[in-house]
Amino acid sequence: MNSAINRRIVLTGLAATSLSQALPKLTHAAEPTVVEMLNKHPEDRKQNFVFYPRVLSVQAGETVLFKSVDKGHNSASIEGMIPNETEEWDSKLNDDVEVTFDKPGFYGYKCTPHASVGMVGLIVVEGEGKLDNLEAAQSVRQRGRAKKVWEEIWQEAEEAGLMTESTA
Amino acid sequence: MLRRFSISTIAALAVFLSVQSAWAQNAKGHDLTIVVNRDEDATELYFAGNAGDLQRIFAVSRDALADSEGLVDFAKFRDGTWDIGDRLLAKTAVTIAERDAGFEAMSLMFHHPSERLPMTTPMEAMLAISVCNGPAYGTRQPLDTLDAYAGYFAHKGSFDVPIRIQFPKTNGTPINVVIHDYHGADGMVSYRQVISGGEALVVSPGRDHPL
Repeated sequence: MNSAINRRIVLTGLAATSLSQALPKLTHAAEPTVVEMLNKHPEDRKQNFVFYPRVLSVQAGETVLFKSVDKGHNSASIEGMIPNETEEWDSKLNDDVEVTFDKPGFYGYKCTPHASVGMVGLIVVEGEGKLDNLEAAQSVRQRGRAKKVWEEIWQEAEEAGLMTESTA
Repeated sequence: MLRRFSISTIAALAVFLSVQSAWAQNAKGHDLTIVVNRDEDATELYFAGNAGDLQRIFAVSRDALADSEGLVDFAKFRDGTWDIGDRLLAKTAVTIAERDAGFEAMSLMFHHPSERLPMTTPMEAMLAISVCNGPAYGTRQPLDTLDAYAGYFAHKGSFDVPIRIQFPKTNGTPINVVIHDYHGADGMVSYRQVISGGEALVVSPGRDHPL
């Protein structure tokens, strides 16, 4: 499979041990960057159902751990919001999941049951060709509260300087 | 003797049922709770009530909210319930400042009345509509035994303008509504209003009709 994303579900307890033993090739030595799945924003308690941080920049090849701190959430890529020839991901509710981002570009993702209440996020993978799917990702139709949240996310990414071509 | 016993039993049962009915009415007190969350560039609307009452008020068929057997299958809610929410509001026109507001469902959730959730602030409403607050009492429940909580979002501000909710024409049965109108930093106004079936409900900001 020509996939730019590797992923593994991180289970807890014995299951985690079994899985990591069964899939040693997928284990990364470096600590992944953590995105927490939360019922409330840790700094702004008025915000419910958030990925924290919701905008994250990583280098190609880095791994992100979506950590199910609060229950009832998952992480799933949004159709049309990831670069071409990359594999979608869709974790089970309440599971932690690690996703390794090999191809530069913009990766929009959601909590499946809470997408329309605005629980969405963006991973920006730095590297050559990063901007190739920006327009496509921005043109995906959003519904409900996600519309407003995506406007905020794109603005946040712009202000953080993430919407320009990566420098070598 | 047997006949006298039967009559007295029926009479006692009738008294019991009427007391129960009165108690149930008092416990609920109204048909529909509405939470409005106003912002400069967006508006959220939340509705809550007995699922059967909402079916009547919004004039939707049972099939719009439940399966063909009238059961709510919570196991199917994993991918979100906005489609059910859209069906509930399909026959109701909502305008902001007299223009179509384009409300879209965020989520809809059912809960048993014994586990009734607080529904006063937008944050409480958001939690009530969320599908992650699933029931612990089984996955398939009869629709008529449940309360429904639905949330809608419009990318249109309503800070200083009225919201008009035109319910479908029904049989004219009055609808007893409790409204919690939230204006961010300006706080919240709560009041009760009775409208007849099919009448428009106008929710004006800052209305001074406390509960």
